[in-house]
Parts: sequence; C-alpha cells; structure tokens
Amino acid sequence: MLVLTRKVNESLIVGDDIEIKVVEISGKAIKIGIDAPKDVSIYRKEIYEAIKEENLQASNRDNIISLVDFIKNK
Amino acid sequence: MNGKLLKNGGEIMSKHVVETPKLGKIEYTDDDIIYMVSPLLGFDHINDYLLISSPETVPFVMLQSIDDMDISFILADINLFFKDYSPNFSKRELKVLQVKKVEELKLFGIVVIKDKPQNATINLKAPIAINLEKRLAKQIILDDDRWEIKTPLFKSEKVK
Repeated sequence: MLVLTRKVNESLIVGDDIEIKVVEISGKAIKIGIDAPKDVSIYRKEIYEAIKEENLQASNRDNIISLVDFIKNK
Repeated sequence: MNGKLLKNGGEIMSKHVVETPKLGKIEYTDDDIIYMVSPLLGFDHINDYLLISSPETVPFVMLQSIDDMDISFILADINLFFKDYSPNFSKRELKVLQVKKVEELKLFGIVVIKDKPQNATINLKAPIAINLEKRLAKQIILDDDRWEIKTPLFKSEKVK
C-alpha cells in the first residue's frame, strides 16, 4: 500500500479524475472529501464487505418455494 | 412473464427462452431485461437480469441472472412488509436510475433464508431500486442507520 502524508485541505489525485481531500481532523477521526465521476461507487469498507457477504448468501441455494409455503401456512 | 414480439426501430425483437433452476422455462424479449447499472457487490460483470413473478412465489419475486442461471435472488417488495420504509437517495443515485424522485422507483429487498423460513431476513440497508419503465436497477447502499442488513422479515407481523 502506498502511504503518503497530507495536511488538512491537501489532496491526492487518483488517476485523472478522482480527488481525495483531507477536510478535517479531530482526534482520531478524519473527514475526507472525494470528487469522483458518477459511475465510480464509493463505500465505507466494512459496509461494502457486509453487503457483499449478504448478497453472496442470498444467491446461495435459498428455496423460495419453502418460503412461500411457509407464508401460505401461517 | 409473457414474452411478446415488439417492434423497436424497425427490428423485430426476438424471443429468448431460458430454463431457470427454480421456476422452469421463462420466455422473454430484450425489453424484459433489467439492467443493473452497477453490478451487485460480489457479482461483478453480471448486469442483465429478469424479474420473475409467478403465482407460486407471491409476495416474492425472483431476480434471475441471464448470464448465469445459477445466480438468482429472492426479492420482496419492501413496502408490502414495512409500510414506513422511506429511505433517502442521493441526487446522484436518482440520476443514474433516470428518475426525479424516489417515488418513481420500486424498492425491493434481498431475502436470505438461513435455516427456517420464519427466520428469513431482508436487507433494508441496501435495497434494490428499480426503474421499471426504463428497466434500470441498482443496489443502493444507504448511509442511514435506521435500516439494517439483516432485518427479520416477519418481525412486523408478530406485533399484531
């Protein structure tokens, strides 16, 4: 991983069209601003991972018919 | 889904038939395809899906990949189960889905059944928003802690 030092209000440019800026630092929290094209998705990593995991589970041999039976028999 | 021949720019759209593992044969045309404007997380490079409902599966629908028949999801119309579900989408998301307001989108949640159906959960943190008219869809990850990834699907019914 590339590690660079930046101060508040300083930026990084990734590729030609992504800018990542340090907006504010307070204690252990850092506010980051990102300018990127609309087709680039930006996620908090832990949420990205959790949703990916959930999607993988969801496609994994669930049985819709048993769920429907369950509802009908309620 | 009733596939029908539609004229589009003078060309007759051809019918396709797929054999789905769970719901048997489905006939569709190119106009029936739902295009995922960015792939579902974990399913890169899969953009074309069919949204299939059948009497056996009501109130659920199947989101079936066309490219890979082994990939399908159970979806539920979120507002049928959670009347007060009203997430905010950013302008950016609305633009990508080519609508002006959230109300123009149909919101589905991905359902996961881990063991017993009564323990099924629905993902309200990352709904699949679909512009049914333009056939565009996207899983939108909400920056909102009111909604959770594993929300019990039947909790709301126990209350009554």
